[in-house]
Amino acid sequence: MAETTRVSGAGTHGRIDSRRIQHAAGELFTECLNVFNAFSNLNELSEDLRVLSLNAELAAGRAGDSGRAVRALTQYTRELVNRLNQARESIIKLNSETHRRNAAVLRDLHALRTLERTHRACEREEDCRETEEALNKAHERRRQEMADYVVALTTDLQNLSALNSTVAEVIAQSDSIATNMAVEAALAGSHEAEFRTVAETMRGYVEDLRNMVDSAAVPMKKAEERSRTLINLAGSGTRGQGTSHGEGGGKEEN
Amino acid sequence: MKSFTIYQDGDHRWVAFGQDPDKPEEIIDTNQFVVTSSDTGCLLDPGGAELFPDMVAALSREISVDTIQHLFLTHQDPDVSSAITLWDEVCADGMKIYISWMWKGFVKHFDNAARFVDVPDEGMDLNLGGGVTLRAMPAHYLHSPGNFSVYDPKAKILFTGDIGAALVPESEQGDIFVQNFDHHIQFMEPFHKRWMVSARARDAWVAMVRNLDVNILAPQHGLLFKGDDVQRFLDWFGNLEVGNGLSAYQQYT
Ligand SMILES: [Fe+2]
Ligand SMILES: [Fe+2]
Repeated sequence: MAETTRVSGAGTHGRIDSRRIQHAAGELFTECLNVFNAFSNLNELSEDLRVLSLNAELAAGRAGDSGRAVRALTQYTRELVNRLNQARESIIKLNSETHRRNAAVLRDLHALRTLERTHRACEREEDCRETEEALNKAHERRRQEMADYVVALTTDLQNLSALNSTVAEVIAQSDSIATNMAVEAALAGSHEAEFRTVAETMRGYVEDLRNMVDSAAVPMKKAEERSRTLINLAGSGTRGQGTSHGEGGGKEEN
Repeated sequence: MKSFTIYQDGDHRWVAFGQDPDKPEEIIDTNQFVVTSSDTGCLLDPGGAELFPDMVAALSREISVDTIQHLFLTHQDPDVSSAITLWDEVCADGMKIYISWMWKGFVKHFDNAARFVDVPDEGMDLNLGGGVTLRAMPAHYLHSPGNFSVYDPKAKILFTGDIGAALVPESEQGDIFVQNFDHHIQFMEPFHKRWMVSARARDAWVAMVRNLDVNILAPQHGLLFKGDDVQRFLDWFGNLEVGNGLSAYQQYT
């Protein structure tokens, strides 16, 4: 109860449970970091894939006509590598945005707690009505700002989830390229061994990428759950949509 | 937190806040000031974020926070400036925050959205209305390199920030004014020897203040000086050896 204060104002203010919000924000942040950590090898894997496609293209050139199909596959692989690199850059941006927004939520929480302490100190004074009104307004602005940051964090998470899907798509396509490569290898006569090595190496990379996406899936799911909890606690009303608590099933009555 | 009205002439008032019995022990004791005139308030060094709740409560006994239109920071230290975000949120819309031009970019780390007025090195006037003008006057290098004292010629009060500061034990507190100057020296001497940097700056500041008509010299820590104690303070400070932190270099040179 020490951290929970009713900031009454003109009837538009509910309670914020700063301790639970801080806990939920901390959990969300931890899971987001786990997702980002899962993707930490993406750069290395996409670079491996790029180098492999270059080597395969050289081998296809040496194979002449019997390497034509493999060459087409390597070009397609390079397009996939480009998609992976774009996804990686977006993940890096999301990572720094997540840190910035998490810090903003913590800063707002700290300010909200101080405003609530101030409100309690003022309640002990007589004739403090105007100051209490100013405090209520400040509290509501801060709470709204924090709710906006929480919504932005959730949007970041959705974008991260979409990027995860992009990477999963690239993996599926890379897998089928590796299969086609193995088929082409069987038809490549004296170059069979060389192309088969390329196909097997590519399968290995596909496996590594798949493991990466799998290891991101668990924290991603947890992060999505945590973000729902956080939105409920912080009040999800965005500016222009009203500011009443309870949107998203708030816990203001705790 | 206690409040002391140290000057009143109609709606022109100076109120000092401090000697907070609820202050966390490790936080240095500070004096905060508000100057009012014709329904306009100006906060001078309103204190750090830890003191904000008690300071707002104490201030609201005297005036409504939404009449505060000016907030003056003598320098950048956290005991002076760390609550500016919160003050900015609860005081009048459009409140101006004044600080030395050289500290603005640093203090913006607390609140990038805050509106600051750059105080130039030579100082500036703040008009509160009702014929009351506060004059920010240079106090650079005492201790901060971008530092000001604030003079109210009508009330004859000089707010001196850290100059004149004293770390007074709770047992010695009670009145807001120094009662026995010689006895008080022990509480301010270590602070001034260490925190005050430059004898040249000190000499310039003392010479400047001697040209002012000052009845109360009000520092941001400890007790205030009134009447003859103002001259006593200037004499004492003018002869003090400052910058004693330099001795720490000796072992390396
Ligand atoms: Fe200072
Ligand atoms: Fe200070």
